[in-house]
Amino acid sequence: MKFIFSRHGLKGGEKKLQRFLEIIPGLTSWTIIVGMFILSLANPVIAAAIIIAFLIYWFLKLAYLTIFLVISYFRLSIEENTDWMERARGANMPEEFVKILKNASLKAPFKKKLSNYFCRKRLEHLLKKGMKPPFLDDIYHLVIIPVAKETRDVVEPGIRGIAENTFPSKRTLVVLAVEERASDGVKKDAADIRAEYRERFLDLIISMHKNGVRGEARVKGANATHAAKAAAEYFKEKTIPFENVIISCFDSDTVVNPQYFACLTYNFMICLERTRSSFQPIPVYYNNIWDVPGFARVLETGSSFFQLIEATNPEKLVTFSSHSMSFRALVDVGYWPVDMISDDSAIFWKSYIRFEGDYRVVPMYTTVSMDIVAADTWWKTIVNEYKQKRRWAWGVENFPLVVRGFLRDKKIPLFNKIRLIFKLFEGHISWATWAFLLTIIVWIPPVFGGGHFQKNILYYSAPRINGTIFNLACFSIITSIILSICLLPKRKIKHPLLQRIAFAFQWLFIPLIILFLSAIPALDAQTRLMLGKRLEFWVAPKKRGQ
Amino acid sequence: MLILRKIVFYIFAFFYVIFCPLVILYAFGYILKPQNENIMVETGIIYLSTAPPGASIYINGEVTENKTPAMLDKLLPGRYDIKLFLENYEVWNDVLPVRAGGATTSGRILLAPKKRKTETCLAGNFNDLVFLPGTQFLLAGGGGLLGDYTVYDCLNRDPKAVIAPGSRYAKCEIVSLFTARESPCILFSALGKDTKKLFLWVDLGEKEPVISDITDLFPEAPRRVIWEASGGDNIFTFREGSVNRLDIAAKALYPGFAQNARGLGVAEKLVYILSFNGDLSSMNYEKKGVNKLLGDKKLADLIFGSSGGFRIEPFSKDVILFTGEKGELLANRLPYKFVDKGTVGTEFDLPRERVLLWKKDKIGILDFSAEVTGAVAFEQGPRLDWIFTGGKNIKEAFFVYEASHVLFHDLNEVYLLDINHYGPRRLEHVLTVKEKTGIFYSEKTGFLYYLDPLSGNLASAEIVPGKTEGTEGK
Repeated sequence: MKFIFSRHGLKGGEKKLQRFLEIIPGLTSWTIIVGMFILSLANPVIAAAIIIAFLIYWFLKLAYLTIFLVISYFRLSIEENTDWMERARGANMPEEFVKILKNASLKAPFKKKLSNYFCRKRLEHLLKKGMKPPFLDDIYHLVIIPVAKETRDVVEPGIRGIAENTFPSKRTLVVLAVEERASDGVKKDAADIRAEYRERFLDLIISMHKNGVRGEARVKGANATHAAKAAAEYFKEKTIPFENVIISCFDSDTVVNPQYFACLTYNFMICLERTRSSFQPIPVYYNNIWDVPGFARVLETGSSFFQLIEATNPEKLVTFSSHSMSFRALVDVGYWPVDMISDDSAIFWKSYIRFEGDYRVVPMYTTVSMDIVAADTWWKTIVNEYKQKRRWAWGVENFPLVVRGFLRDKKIPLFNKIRLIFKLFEGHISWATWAFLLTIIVWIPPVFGGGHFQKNILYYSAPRINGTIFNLACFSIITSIILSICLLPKRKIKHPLLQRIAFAFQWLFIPLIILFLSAIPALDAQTRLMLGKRLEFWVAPKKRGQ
Repeated sequence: MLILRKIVFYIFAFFYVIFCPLVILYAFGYILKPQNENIMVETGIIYLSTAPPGASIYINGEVTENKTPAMLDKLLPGRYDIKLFLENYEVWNDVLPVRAGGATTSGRILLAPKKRKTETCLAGNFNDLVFLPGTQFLLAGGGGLLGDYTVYDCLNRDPKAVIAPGSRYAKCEIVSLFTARESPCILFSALGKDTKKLFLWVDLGEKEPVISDITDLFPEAPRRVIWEASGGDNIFTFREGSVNRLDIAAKALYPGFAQNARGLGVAEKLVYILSFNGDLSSMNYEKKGVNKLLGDKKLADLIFGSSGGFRIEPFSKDVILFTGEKGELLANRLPYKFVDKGTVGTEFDLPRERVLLWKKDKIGILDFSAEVTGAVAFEQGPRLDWIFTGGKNIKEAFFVYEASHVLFHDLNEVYLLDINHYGPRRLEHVLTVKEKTGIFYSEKTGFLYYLDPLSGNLASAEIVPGKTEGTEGK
């Protein structure tokens, strides 16, 4: 369906509808927070009952998510030692490879058995559908790394990671998408990297994105689009079909797992709708995890967990941060939006609407590691974290566009539309409101309820019930703490045990963290959208220990 | 994975749909009726909290597993005979009503000890006990001379002489003394050598009492002297309609602050003046920012009468109390006059907007929180409830344990009245004190201070168990 995935150039009713839909998320969040605050004072009995209903919902959702966090973590761990290149090679001869896997499983350890089982099932599914994967040797990778302020020490580890990947790097084209406004130092770093690494790839080219191009905002998507168009010319010149190219758009600090491109290639090959799919790895924030304050570690571990949980639900999975997709799809969809900050999720929605629902995200059980935003001081790190979370929460800008797109579309099943819209809406509203409800509103009825409320049985029963729910929720928190410790990267440190124990205790700050560095930035973003005060793209500073 | 996710989702959704209403009904007190499991009934709860805690609870003669503080839930509407047992304490008993969906709270139960804990604070055959209301200081004295008085700090359990024995003021004979709520200062009017009248300002808040002779600031003996704890060094004197301001630090007298006054009060750095011409005004200490609160002489005469002076005590931001010379108690709230005559004293419970007042023979509570104003056919002013009658000569009364009890001094006996009791109010005799002396209760320590009738020692008796009577025992 032809739909301009942009808020620009709208007229009449469409413009009013866009504005109306921009107001809805912020208005809803504020209504919930202020409404519950007022209700807690005006009618604490009703408020206490609503809070109990909410807490039960929250607890069940937490338990539900914890179950899938554990499953997803387990799924990730069973693929930890998988040789993805072997899998990719095997995908070229699926019948034989199924047999090989069957035999190999006989004496394999449990995790390996499971890994082989999942692989076999997918290949058998492919065979059943009568589909043949493309040849491994025909597949190329395109990696776009937008650079604005990042210096060589931030960018180079990622380039090295791509070069040293198990997938042959000679079939990988790397594009350093440098902003024209970048400093001379940044440009020189890009040139130095090109000189040093070019020979290790199919090519390493630098695209220089001009400032102030008409119709573009100062956003990463504009730079990446410019780079992707340059890459398209390159592939055309080399007569490499776009169908065989997988594009990965990474943040400049992204360091991929050594098996990343092999895993991506395998998943691409065996995907039935590979040119109508995005491929989402698990983002982890380990590049500088030992060099940042504890609250930042907890916050980003939470982000990784969120993506781990999401990976178990491909039906509703939306691309986030560093991810990959078919280059054919990217070209057909008209590249990334050039006027939106949340290009990572926007490209999914744009593709979903463009292909009338025939688009999906395939979860990959491999990791890409990124930097936690950091600064020289503790306070500046808080400020940077706040700004980054607000930028993530600015993904709410997709809501009006997606609703408009769905209203225009006639082919996507209504159920799918409702389901996806609800998830998008509910996700942003709960992001902005739950922390307020859990940490502040829940205490208002008993503390400020007044004498009349004290004569109601709910004054006594509600805190007991709420306390029981919070205690039960601790199981989820403890599970999260254990998993976060298990997920931590190994590091030669003087007191590893003590450091890990300290890491566990950092989770005690979670009520403060979710309120100040999650809910408030999200509410801030929604309020800005509601008031029409749009965010400018902000390049998060990264800092790594020596 | 998708199928598993869906299965778990539907299980959780089903669980929520079933479980959430049940939990909310339970929170509202609904349970399946005992012995008849098909009928849901709405229950209530009783919450019991005692000082000291740990009392065993009996409901209708049957022991429960709970010990105070405890919430007894799933109680069908009705009346329940509650007994509390704790070793070394008298049995506490009350019949508590339970209504459907309601909470009956007995959250401030004071268990009466079988033998009350008393202790001598200060040995000496004292005849007089003066307390500084709202502070931890009290004065125990003997022969009427300034040097005979000792200050006792209830929190620090620290006695010290008001005036050093060698001081030239030690032999001064006390004529009268003035105190103010929450102020650690006291003003003595005393006769010095050559029967010269002296005015001595003593600050007990310092490590050692600090005495200032401010006789020069008193051209004539005042009838009343008032100040407020937060008012700096400003005090106000009142005599025959004339109000003077005194700055003690600057040793300055500002005569004629107000003339023709029949009432005076200070609060929140504002001075309230009621004049004979019917005006009630507030102003700051510099006589600026005058705010006329009443300017209707007819109404003023109707409320205050045409003669007699009043002590003005702003109770809260918009409630002002007036105590007349004949013991009238009035307020700027309907019906204005609450007691015609005989009010001996008042004590404030600001958090609950209540005033404890007492006459020689009865004690009442004026409840400003019960006011109903605004869009009603008949506005309802504060309610005066006489909680005790039949007294002989009630001299002092205090709110105890967050205003759940009243401790009062009648003749030479001290009583504790439980005003939160659901049944008839419980009156407990606490102890006997020395004749013609006062008592003092400190909510901070939970102790009553009095002069022992036999020895004349300053003694303390524990009223609220569990509070610490001072931190630096000596």
